[in-house]
Amino acid sequence: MRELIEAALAAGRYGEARSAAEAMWRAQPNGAVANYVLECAARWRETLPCRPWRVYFLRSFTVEPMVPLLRAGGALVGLELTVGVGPLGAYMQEVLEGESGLYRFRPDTVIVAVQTRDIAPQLWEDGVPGAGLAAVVAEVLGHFTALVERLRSDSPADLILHALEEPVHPSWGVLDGQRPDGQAAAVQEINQGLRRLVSRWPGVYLLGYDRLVANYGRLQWHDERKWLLVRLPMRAECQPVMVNEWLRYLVPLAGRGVKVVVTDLDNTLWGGVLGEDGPEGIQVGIEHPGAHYRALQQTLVDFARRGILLAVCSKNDEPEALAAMDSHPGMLLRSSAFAATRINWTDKSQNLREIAGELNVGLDALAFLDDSPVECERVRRELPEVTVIELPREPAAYAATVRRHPGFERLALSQEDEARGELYRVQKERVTAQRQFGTVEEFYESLRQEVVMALVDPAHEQRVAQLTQKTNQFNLTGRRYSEAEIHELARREGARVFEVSVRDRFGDNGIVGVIVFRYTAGVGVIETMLMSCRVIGRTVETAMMALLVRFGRQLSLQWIEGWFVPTAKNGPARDFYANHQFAQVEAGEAGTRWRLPVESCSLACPRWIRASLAKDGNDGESIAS
Amino acid sequence: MMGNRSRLELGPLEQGPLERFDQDDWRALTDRVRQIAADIFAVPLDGLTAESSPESIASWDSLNHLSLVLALEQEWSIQFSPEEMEELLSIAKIVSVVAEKSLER
Repeated sequence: MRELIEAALAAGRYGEARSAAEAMWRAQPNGAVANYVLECAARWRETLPCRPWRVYFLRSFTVEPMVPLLRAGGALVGLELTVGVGPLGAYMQEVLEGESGLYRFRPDTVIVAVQTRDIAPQLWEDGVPGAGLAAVVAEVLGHFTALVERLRSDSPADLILHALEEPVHPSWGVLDGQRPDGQAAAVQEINQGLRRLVSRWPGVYLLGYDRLVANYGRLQWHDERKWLLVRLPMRAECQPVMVNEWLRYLVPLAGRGVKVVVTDLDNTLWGGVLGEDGPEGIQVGIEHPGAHYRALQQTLVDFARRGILLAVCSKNDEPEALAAMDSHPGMLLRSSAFAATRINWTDKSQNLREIAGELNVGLDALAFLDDSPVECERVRRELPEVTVIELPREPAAYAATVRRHPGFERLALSQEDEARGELYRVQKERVTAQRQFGTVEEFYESLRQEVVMALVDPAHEQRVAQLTQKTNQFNLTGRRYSEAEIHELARREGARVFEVSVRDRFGDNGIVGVIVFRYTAGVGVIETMLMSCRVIGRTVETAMMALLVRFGRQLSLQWIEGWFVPTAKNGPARDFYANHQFAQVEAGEAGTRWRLPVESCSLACPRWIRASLAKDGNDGESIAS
Repeated sequence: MMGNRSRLELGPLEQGPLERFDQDDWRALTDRVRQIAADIFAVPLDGLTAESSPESIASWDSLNHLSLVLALEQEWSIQFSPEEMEELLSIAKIVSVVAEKSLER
């Protein structure tokens, strides 16, 4: 790798050198590689745009070993960082003294990295009794308020405050969750107070340190030995995680954010190659593997809400590609979501130049997403200013790879940014959903569920078989089927395989239920009925049975019968027949047999569910015929 | 970095763990440690020998020592105790402690 980087640097191919250095950094983000990256960056900085930026740490723990990591990470995203570090634990004095190192350094950004265990040891180890706790919360918030007020009046620097971390082991143990003097609750209260504090001041931002630690894994984060020895609280491998989080703030603050994301189509926005697999063959949707591509689309939707423009650059025939984007049922992003499109067989670098021109931004404001290493390499060589994000081989990792890049972060949104997305609408709905519900019916109503039961689509036979294989809880008989068996049953006289899909206000849950039904003159038998645990406890099963009764009436069946076969895990389905007007007619070794009179039963779909029996928009009649 | 044999094939049990290292393993490990140390201390690779220590390398101060320890921990997914951290005061010593700890994993 080093030889490759040296050769690229020697030949003046700086974009290529930087991307190789980036790959090396991604593989081994440690202090040694950081120093090497910085050495290389000193050579490419003349050619590749790098924004100088000064960062000063006010801190209660050791950050020094992370400084080269931060500078190297910055160099790879277009920042030339100069970093100053204040004396350990003396953050308040530094802020209050007019002539301290802090003010002499003239930082662009100040990071206040203070830990719970330092500023509020009572909330980390020794819990304080109830009455004292409010005083601790008030005192800590008072500290931060004084610090922010003073810094804002004496320095033009932006401020990043680390929010506090919840204790790993609260003094009360699990009881911490209930007690009025719970330590975790007190930390949350402080963090709420910090939220209010930062919202009152422009240029002050809160870094969710607790979430960062939790996302990584609280128990994996801490290194008590290094804490005691050198006041370094986290393990070596967590340092790049911390550094990347700082960069997510510094990049937008320094104005190095990406303004336009240019994405490929084949094997990027969808799985497969449109030109080879055809519009029906490409994969995007809510099931595996299409869900991974949809997750990337969701990522781009989120970026668009932040005011980042989307563009397409793909080697395809334009009419077909646009048609696929606009008509494929699994696509989140339609062609109208893109501010510029270049779907042609021209070189991508040329297309990127045109897109930058059309949208009136510099090349350094573009990020380019592509799954092809060849295309990525070409763009890196020809347009080193462009941020190239080469997607990993595994589509499941696409979205996380893109989201991790600090260039897509925004610290504030203009009204114009916000108007671009539907952020507000969605956000409002989520908040309402979190509200307490008076009754369980109110909750069901609020879900606005739509249940569709249809004959299994040939494309879904695999998913249906898979559901029979892995659904254990709500499964009346526990019978498993292969894809071939489902395929055969779906075509057999006197048998029906139903797939049940559920939509609710939050989106599509996909296929979550299956009924395998057989019938002869007068009697229908439920051979299998199951429901994924995704939708247990939402009365979907009642809707399914009501639809099955409707189907039974179309066939003029007299009885619907079914077995309940107890297994180790299907307790949740045990009372299903009894609760749905079935009468037990037999109890054998295998289980119990139940029967429902089709004509006279009063089984109805719950009023909070819209249920329909259909196949591709046809009405129920065609299923029975 | 330890050859491409699986652990199960590495010699009989009565041998000490380090004896399972062959010449190539040692060389690969030593090269890797030297490269990391050269980067951390910002010295040329060929300026580092097995005997190099804080006495002979001017930039081997306490902060860079901490950075070195962290880089080694990350590279081999190991963690040093405070006592071990204080022992890692020459390239040769680092190589042997890293070898021992990476085999313990």
